[in-house]
Formats: sequence, structure tokens, C-alpha cells
Amino acid sequence: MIELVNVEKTYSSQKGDTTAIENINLSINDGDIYGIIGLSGAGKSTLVRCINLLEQPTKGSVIIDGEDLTKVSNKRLLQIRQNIGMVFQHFNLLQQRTVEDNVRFPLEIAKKHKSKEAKDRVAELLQLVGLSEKAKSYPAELSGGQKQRVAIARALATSPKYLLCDEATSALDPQTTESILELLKKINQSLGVTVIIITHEMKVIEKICTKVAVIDNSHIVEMGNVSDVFADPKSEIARQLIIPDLIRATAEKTGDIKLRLIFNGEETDKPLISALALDLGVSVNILYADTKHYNGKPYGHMVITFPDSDEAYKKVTTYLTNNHVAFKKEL
Amino acid sequence: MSEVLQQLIEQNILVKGIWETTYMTLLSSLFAYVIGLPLGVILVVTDENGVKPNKAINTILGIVVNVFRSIPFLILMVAMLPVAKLVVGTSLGNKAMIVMLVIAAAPYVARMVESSLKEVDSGVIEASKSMGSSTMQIILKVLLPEAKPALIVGAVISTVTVLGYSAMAGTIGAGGLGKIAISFGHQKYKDDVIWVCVILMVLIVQAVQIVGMTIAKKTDRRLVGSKKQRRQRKNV
Ligand SMILES: Nc1ncnc2c1ncn2[C@@H]1O[C@H](COP(=O)(O)OP(=O)(O)OP(=O)(O)O)[C@@H](O)[C@H]1O
Ligand SMILES: [Mg+2]
Repeated sequence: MIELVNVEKTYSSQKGDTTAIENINLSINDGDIYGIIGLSGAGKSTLVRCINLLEQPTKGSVIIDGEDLTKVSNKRLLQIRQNIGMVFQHFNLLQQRTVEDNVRFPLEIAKKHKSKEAKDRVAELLQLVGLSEKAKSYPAELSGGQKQRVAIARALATSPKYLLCDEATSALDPQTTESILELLKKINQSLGVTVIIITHEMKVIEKICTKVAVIDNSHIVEMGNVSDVFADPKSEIARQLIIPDLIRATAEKTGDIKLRLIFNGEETDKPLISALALDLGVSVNILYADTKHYNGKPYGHMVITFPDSDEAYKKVTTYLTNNHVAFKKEL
Repeated sequence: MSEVLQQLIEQNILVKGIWETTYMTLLSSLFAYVIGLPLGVILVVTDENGVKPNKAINTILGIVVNVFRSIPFLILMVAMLPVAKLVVGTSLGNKAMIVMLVIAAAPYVARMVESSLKEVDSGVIEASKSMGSSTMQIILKVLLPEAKPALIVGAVISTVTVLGYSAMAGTIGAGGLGKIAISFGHQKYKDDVIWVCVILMVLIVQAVQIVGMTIAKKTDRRLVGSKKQRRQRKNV
């Protein structure tokens, strides 16, 4: 388990102090895929770099499996880092080493590279990320997605319990992003690695995270299960990130009832809107819809509107409840 | 062809000159790296953005290097004659000259190494830190190997600079082509001797450059389109 207690990081320079993160309290359980989302400059990178002490917090504790990293010796810190893999936006591969030598690198650092197991481990990891045939290539010969796969394999070489990903998919196109996210999910599920993902893209959180913390202006403003935060974002910033157009869609005052329907993987067997219109006889309009299907299940939001009447409201909400569709009345 | 030049060729003085210049240059460059390389590494590592910042060491070393670099070579040579005597027992001859060339070139090499190592992507260093690398491991496994092509190019430039120094050293007692050009060409007004020496020096410089640059290019894995790799890929 990773626990951040009252963590603060202030950078000092001649121009003055910048507090990048402040008052951060966060618990990440083993087995989680924990997303940390926020806009540029919010402090995400600083936060994740405090977890493995690449950045020394100015205040607070970073406790990993009961050990406070801010208090251990340098030697112990280096050991602990071998148990925390890290993946970066720009891959950060060693340009002068082949793919397999890059993956072997952390084993060299841990002085475990000479054994037969090390050799097998490298081959096994390349297999896992689907790059066995590129073992002898150099990073310059790979595509961005392939480079990130190598970086992930490298981060896993010492069989770490935790994997930190700082914008691991931000330099990749949507399709490659999908495949990298799939890979991270597979690693979480098959190897039991706890994954911490930093991103500014909601779709990354949506796709694989179980928990999320929203960070804005150096502070965590909201956190919890993805499905809960996703269904009912409380902070302004979370609403902006999750449903950017929703705010516009619901801004106009019309006098009609507006309901936001929340799809978080629960299946609906009937086409919902036509059912509302045909079966209940309520003339429903769609103000906003952003739903996607992952693994055949719907995720996303939809805002519907219908003329204000108690009867219609009751009919619709009962129907939604019976069909397990979460909803929220928007003003 | 002047008589003097003919004599120089027949008595193998010219060949000896080539040999002296070559070994003085290579040996001096080698020792300059033995001293300059660690200094360059220390300058990078102790930099405020380095792997292990240390303001005191960085500032002092920086000043020492700059002082040595700003003294004109000939003056430095004369000033360092006692040091040469201390190290090799004499302040005359090629051995003493090698000591001075090393003293003059080491700070230059340190800066060269420093600028090569600074080119290494800070992200790569950060990644290796995240894996638990110690400072020494970062130096040996990341900084130096990743900067290898730039270091080789730097070595070529340094060697050529040392070659130039060695020619100047000819004026104060060192052997080699520089001395021949001065004592036979300049002082006896034989222009052809000077020209032959110049051409020979240019050829040595060219040889060093071609060898060095070829190695640098061949070993740089960032160059995707190299011939060897293209061939390998075709065979796959
Ligand atoms: N080394 C540093 N020195 C001074 N200030 C810094 C340093 N690193 C980050 N900051 C400041 O801290 C704040 C948070 O930066 P951080 O990199 O954590 O943001 P981020 O959320 O990761 O942004 P992005 O999405 O753009 O990567 C910013 O205001 C930034 O200017
Ligand atoms: Mg960042």
C-alpha cells in the first residue's frame, strides 16, 4: 500500500517559491489501478515523482508498505525504487542499447543480470509486451507505441509491486493509446501490479482505472471510485474534465426538466430513448450525449430533457431505476 | 626542392618528425583524457542540475579549469616547466613536452567531456534513477555510454588541438614536425620545408578525423539509416 500523508512540495528559486503540491493525502491499495487526473501544471508529475522520491517532499510522509521513504537511508531508498517501476511520456529509453539490453538494464542496476533467470526474464517480458522479434533493434528503429512497450517491459524487469505511469500515453495516437492501456490492464490483472496512472485525459481514467483522484491547483479536490466520481463529479474541475460539453448543454434555463443519465457499464437491454418515448409516451429530447461502448458495455453521459410535469418525471425516473440507469437531475 | 629538404628526407629526419609528432600527440591526448575525463564527469555530476549537485566542488573546479584554459599555451608551457621537471625529471625534450601538453589539454578535455555529457537526455537519467541507480551506476552505465558518439567527436577535436599545441611546442624545445618547420624551414628561409611540414600535419589531422568520425558514426545507435543497419534489416 502507498500512503501519502500531508505531502507538500515547494520549489524554491531566486524568483520565489512555487508550491507544486500541497496537503496531499492519498491511499493507494494493492491491486488498484489508480488514476490521477488534472490540467497541465496542476502538480501531477510532482505528485507521482514524490512517490518514489525522485522529488523530495518539503513536508509530509510517503509510506510504502509501512516504510516512510522520507526517513530511510539512501541505500535503502535505491532498493525500494527497484520495487517501483516507472514509465514516462517520452519513453526515456537508452538510445545506445538494444531493446533487450534496455529491458535488462534494471537487472544490471540491481546486480541480478548475470543469471540464467535474468535472460529468461528479459525474453519473457518482451513476449509479454509483444516485441520478441525486436529484441536486437535499437530504440531509434521503433515507433512510439513500440518504444513505450519496451519502457513498460523495462519498468517490470525487477518484478516491481508498483508501476508509476506519468502521461504514458500522451505522446501516442488514440489507437496506440488503447493498446498500451490494454497492456497496463493486463499487467495489473495477470501480474497483480498496482498501477498509478497520471493523465490529463479522462478517457484514460474511464478506460482502465478503478480509483481516481482529481488534482487542481496543487490540491486534490476529489477522489474515490471511478464509477462514483464519474457518475457524480462534485468539483468544477472534475465536471470540466469528465463532461466538458455537458456544462454548456445544461447552462441554458428552459423550464424543462433536465436529467443526466449515467452509464457506467450496466447493460440496458432496450433502446432507452425510444422506450421512453414509445412505452411511456414522454416526448424526450437529447441535449447532450457522450456514450461509448467498452467490451460491449455502455459508459458515458447523456442529458435528456422533457416538459416539466410531476407525472412525466415520476414515469421516467421509475423506468430508469427499474432498468438500472443512474441519473441525476440537473438544474 | 631545396637541398635542406632533400637532406631531411634522405636522413630520415622527416620520418622521425612525423613519428614524434604522432606519438606526442596521441600520448598527450591519452593522458589528457585520463585527467580530463574524470574532471568533466565531476563538472557534470556536481552541477546544480546534475545527479549529485555540489556547489563548492563545482565552482572551484570550474574556476581552476577556466584559469588554465585562459592562459595562452606558450605562456602556460613556460610557467609549467618546473612541473615537468618534477614529473619526468627534466624540463627539456619530448617527455617534458608531453607533460606540458597534458597540462594544457586536460582542462580543454574536461570542458569537452562536460558539454558531451550534458547532451544526454535528462529523462533517461531520471528513468535510471527511478530504477534505483547509484550515482556511480548513472555515470558508468548511462552518462558515458549514452554520450559515446559525442565523446568520440570531442576526442577528435581535442586530439587535433593537441596536435596544434605540439607544433607550437617545437619553438621551445619539443621535437616533431613543428620543430623541423621552425628550425629548418623558418630559420633557414626554406619555404618548401615549411610547406611539406604543413601538408604532413594536415594529413595527420585528416587521418585522425576520418578514423574518429567513422567510429563515432558507426557506433551511434541513434542513426537509423546507417548502411550496416539497412543491410541487416534487408536480411531479416
Ligand atoms: N523543477 C521545478 N522547479 C520549479 N518549479 C517546478 C519544477 N517542476 C515543476 N514546477 C512547477 O510546479 C507546478 C506543477 O508542475 P507539474 O510538472 O507537477 O505539473 P503537471 O500537472 O505534471 O503538468 P503537465 O500536465 O503539464 O505535465 C508547475 O507550476 C511547475 O511550474
Ligand atoms: Mg507532468
